[in-house]
Amino acid sequence: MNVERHWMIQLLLNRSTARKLAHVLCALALTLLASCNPTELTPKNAKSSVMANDGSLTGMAYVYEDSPYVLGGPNYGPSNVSMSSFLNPLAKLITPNNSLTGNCTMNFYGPGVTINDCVRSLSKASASTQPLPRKADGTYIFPTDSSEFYQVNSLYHVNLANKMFHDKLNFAYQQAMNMDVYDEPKSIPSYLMSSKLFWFKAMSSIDKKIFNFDYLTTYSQCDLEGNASFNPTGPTLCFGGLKQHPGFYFIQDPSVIYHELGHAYIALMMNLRNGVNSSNYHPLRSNLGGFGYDEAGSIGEGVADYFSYMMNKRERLGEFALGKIFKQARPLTESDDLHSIPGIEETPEGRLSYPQFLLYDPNNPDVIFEDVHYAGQIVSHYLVALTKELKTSCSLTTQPDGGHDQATSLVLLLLSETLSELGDLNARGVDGYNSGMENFSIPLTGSDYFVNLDVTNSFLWSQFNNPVTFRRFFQTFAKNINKYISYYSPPTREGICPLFTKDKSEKLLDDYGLLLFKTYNDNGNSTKDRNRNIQTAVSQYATPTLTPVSENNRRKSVLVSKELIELSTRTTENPDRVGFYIIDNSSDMEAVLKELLYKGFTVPTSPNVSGTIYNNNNIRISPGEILGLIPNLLNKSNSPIAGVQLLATDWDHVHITETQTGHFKPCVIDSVTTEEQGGEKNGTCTSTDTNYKRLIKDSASNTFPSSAAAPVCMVLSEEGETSKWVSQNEFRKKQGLSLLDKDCLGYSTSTVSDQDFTFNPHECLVRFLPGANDAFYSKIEPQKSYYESVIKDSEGGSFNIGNVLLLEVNKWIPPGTKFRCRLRARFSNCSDCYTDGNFSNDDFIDSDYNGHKPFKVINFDFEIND
Amino acid sequence: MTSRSFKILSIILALFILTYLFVGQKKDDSRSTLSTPKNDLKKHVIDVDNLKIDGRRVIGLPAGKEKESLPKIHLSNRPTNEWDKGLENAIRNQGGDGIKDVQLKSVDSFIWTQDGQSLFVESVIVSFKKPNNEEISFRVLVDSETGKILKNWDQPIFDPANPRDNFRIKIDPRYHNGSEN
Repeated sequence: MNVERHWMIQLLLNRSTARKLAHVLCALALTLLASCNPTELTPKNAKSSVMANDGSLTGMAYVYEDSPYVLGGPNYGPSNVSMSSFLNPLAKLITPNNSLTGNCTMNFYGPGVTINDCVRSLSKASASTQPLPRKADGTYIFPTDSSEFYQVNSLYHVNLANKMFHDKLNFAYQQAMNMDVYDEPKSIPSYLMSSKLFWFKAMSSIDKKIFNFDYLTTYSQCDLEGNASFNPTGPTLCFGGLKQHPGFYFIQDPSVIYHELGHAYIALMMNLRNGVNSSNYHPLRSNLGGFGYDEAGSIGEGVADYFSYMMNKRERLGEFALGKIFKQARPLTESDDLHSIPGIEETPEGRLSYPQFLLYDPNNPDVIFEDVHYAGQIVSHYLVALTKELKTSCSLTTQPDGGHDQATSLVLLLLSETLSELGDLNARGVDGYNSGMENFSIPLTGSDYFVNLDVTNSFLWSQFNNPVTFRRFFQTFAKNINKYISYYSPPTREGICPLFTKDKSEKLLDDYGLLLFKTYNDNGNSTKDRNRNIQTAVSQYATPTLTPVSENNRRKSVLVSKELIELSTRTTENPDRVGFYIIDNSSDMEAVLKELLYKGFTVPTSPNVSGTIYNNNNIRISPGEILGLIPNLLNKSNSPIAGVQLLATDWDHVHITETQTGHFKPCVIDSVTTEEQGGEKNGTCTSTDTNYKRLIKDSASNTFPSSAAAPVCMVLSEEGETSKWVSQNEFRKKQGLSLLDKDCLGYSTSTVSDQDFTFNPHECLVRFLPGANDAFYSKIEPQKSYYESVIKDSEGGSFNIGNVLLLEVNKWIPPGTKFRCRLRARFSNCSDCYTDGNFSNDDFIDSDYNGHKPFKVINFDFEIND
Repeated sequence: MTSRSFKILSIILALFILTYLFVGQKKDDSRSTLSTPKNDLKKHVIDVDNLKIDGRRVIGLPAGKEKESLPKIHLSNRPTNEWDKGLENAIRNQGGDGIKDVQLKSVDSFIWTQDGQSLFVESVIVSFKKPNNEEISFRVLVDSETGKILKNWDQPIFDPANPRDNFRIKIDPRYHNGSEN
């Protein structure tokens, strides 16, 4: 029919129209579909829109390079934070990998070593454990402010920082290897290439014995309120938020990311020497920091702050994450406006010096507060000042970046050499000599150790008996400045920058009050025998000599004798002065124990014979109690003392009279415990045991050693008219207490075990709990007690948990029993705690810290209350 | 005694002896994953070249004399399946009822020689959640027999926005109001 033909003609006529219409409809459909796809969002300020990835955006995303405070001004936030205004319009490479993971590479001298997937970026532990895969379009572009967006940005900054760290560690490695040419020992081990301890990954892909996972996990929005953290066990980085400000996250401040990574890098550097290959690594690991306040933790915070400066060149940290709500941003130089106190400036007189500024919060300068983050500012300010001095002295300022990269590389060299030595749990400190070219040096073997006493007791030494303090850290750091930077002895050897002289270095340290040592302790003494040094162990090394500090350079760093510290006593002039504080409120003590556990510190108690249920809140020491003890130390000098450590760990202070029982006599080391009271002047008391061994039974011979470190607390045994100080084991047997081993503190058996050979019967009745048997006090002002110096006028008038020793008391002790506990005290700016006057002010060797010579013995006497 | 009574008594006695033997055997079986006396090194597999006993590294031997010392060590304990219970009890005792999801992961087993004795030990990662669901983990070294904690390390490092919010301990007011004796 014509109609059909007409229709067909119309159709034919409309076919081209229909085709055009179809094309338009398709385009419209595609546009609509594209606009529905969230992957095609672009930043507001992007110059071009992204419709599809043509390959140029593979592995890339739009990132924020700094925080909203820096990019948007101080008035931005904290409510309704959106990072869309702060994105770099140019997309950045996030990772070449197919998922949100990063790789770590150290070049060494050639193609280098790469650990793939060394970092994973996740949102939080309770969410997916798999990193986000690359999108179908090949990019990592997710909606701004989404969870995925923050994971992407987190990885971007972590990868950036890791590259910087490994590049600089590589520089440090090469400089250290150069020392072999000069027969000079070094700490960074040449076998780092095979051990791969420049990252958290253990030796091989299947060997996961050291870490939970063989990659660093970052949680960009973890369930942590008002906090960020680094956990070396994971290892993990965790960036929290604030419930009262939804949308506000720590991850939005890259300076905080770099600070947390700083903690991770410290953990790496401290353990560079703790493994050689997959079958030879120390089972424990070093790190900086305890609970509460201590100087190792303070140094850790200061170095971590410095990593932020290293990354972004800015002289302030945490303006957004810490400063926006809590007003706790931290300056890194004296010129920063956050310092409002007149006189703080970048001059020798104006430096943030130790110990004056240990408790200083620039945001609240009128209220002192003891915290590692405030004390760490002295360290960060020193490191930034050192960097600036190196830029000038080494003529680096003409470089395009002002010398920042090279100067910070020099500082990282010093940090890595220092930390790897101080954290060496294999206790060698240096390596043996190998004539082969590929590995210049090999692990030292034999019976000589040069740091941290020996391989079995290195953890005890590095954490307690000779820990990292301001004094120890900066002495080793200064030694490395002298060795690598300042050294000048042409034509034999010249340092990297001899114009930064030893004098300049000492002056800068002294400006910060950190010239706390008399020599550089660079004569390489062994830990147990002063007659042996690194050259007697490794003949190829040059003869080490002891480098003294120029005393002309010591103006601000005041050293005080340990004889001027003692336990406070109440006097008529000071009727409020208390000798020690006791905490025996049961709920307070439960809270203390819990808090220690929440910080990862175990304090194993003896539930069968003690517990907080016995705490009676009478601020006395009663049977069965677990209580906190805070000895209130007094500074009798006219200068402040700082970094005060009080040890209640076992030490060599007794002469063992019977090896069958371990009974002993206390050595006469002061006028307090005399021979008439059962003390001993001769026997093993005339010297300090060079080997550390606890006074416990040898399971093979079933006897006690003839010389050992004993628990600090002795008991007064009253026999007729005589009273003698004896061991707790002797007391319980002679006084008819009928206490079996299983009724003693610290005794532990399984349901099938019959004996606990780790148990020490000499702390059967009273003991300072392991995990809480050392205490730290930041500073004590002249002629004042610690309480008067730090606590009395501080906010809240309360103690830091690190100030407390925990004492456990057996419920079976008769009331009236008298104890004497010989605690040992020392402090960082001490003139006679570290140097042996018999050896030209050379430092004590490690084994000396097993005895009393480096310490002031503090006698804590008490009687068991009914 | 009648013969019937004698028979009953004999049956009871026999049952008693059988029960005693059975229970005793079971107890012996549960004593150890190694059914050997603690210090009888002959019953253990000793690898002097690699300084291992029963496949476990031995750490802490006298430096420079490791190979000659290894065959002479005296093992003071033996591994059991009980160590994790002992460890968990210690963690819960310290943490109270509030902690949850306690997990213990042994990442390494070796022999630790210290203070004149050699112990089978486990290197363990302890994880748990606080009452507010924050996850904490750290490491301990424990006795492979009892779970007794010997060492503790790798604690987390926290950076609170406001350090002044950290846990503090208040002094008893009796110390400074004149009522303390």
